[in-house]
Amino acid sequence: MDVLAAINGNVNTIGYGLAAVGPAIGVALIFVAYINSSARQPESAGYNRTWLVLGFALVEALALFGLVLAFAVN
Amino acid sequence: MGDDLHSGKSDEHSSEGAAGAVVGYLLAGILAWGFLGWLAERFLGLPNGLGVAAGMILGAAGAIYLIMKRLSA
Amino acid sequence: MSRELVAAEGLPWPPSVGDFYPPELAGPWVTKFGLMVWLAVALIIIFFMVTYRNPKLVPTKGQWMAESVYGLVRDNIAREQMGKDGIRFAPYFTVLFCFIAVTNLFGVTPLLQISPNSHIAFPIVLAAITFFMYIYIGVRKHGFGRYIKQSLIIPGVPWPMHVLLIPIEFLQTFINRPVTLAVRLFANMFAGHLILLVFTVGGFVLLASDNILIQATSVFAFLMAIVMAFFEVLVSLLQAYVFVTLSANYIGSSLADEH
Repeated sequence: MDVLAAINGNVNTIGYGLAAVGPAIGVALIFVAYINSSARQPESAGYNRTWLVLGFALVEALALFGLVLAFAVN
Repeated sequence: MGDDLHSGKSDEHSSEGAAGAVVGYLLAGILAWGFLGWLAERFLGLPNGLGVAAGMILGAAGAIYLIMKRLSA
Repeated sequence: MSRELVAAEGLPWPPSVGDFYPPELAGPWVTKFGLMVWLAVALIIIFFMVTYRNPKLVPTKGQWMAESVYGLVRDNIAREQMGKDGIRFAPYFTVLFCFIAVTNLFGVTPLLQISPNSHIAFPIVLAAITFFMYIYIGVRKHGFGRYIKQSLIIPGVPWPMHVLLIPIEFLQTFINRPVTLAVRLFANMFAGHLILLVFTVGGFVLLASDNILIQATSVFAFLMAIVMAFFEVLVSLLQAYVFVTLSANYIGSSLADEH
């Protein structure tokens, strides 16, 4: 079988680039929801802060998985 | 909204501190337990890559628990 | 294609890490970076001394600028992050902020177009000072054992969970904080300088080609270099602010009492 095209060098960075798209959109959606709800009803801002932090931490964990694996895997 | 169901004092009283703490705890958790999982994999002979993956997931879970406890959120 | 242009013109393309090491000036101990750090210190000392020579109740322009800088650091950074205890540390934070801002801005001033913070040695020293400071202050206030216990153990957590949590807390407090302080400053300055090198030298490389259409695109390269220089000013000031804010936060968390 002939090789038609090949990528040389470190493919980890391509993997990390693909893996960063999802968490970026996810974090943006979380903050959109928090900003919208705080603007509509400012008294709920303190109450919603729980889920803001929890959601941000969960989504950011996936992004950091990608970052760590990009450097750790040879 | 009348009573704040999750009221408790957060350790960080500024938003930049809270954001830095979240990312810092997550990174620390993933790195620490990923490294311990890698050591376990080398010395216990687990299937290739399983120790690191299990360690990272455990570390991420622990970090999220720590964030919720520390930041009282 | 770019290799033939380089061979024809002798331009340093593509930019590499070697471009961050300017030639020595007068023997191995006098480099451009050493002179730049001395220059930054001299500028800060002279500015504050001259503007506060005869302080008046209705401030002169220089006195107003010096007071604004100190007021910004004391109110928005020290008092917000640390509460009332922060005022004791406000002079140190002001000097730190001014030093980092001035050395970062050297990256865009005409004759000195590189920032000393793009060599990792300088951010390492600044982060190490903050690190030893917050550990010393925590140990001095609480005693060594109680400070470690307060950093690593959280009340209200069942005992087996602590086996999971203590490595994470240890890594976060004692390793992650100083390392990320230093690397954040270093990476921003390194990347900013590299971007400016790419656009400026790349513009000259495009200008040196034979094709008129390729020469026309060098205008966009130079335009991007100008835009990136303005962005670099913003990043310089922002990185100084973030460094000082996080330092104040860490020292404040060392001073915090048990909850």
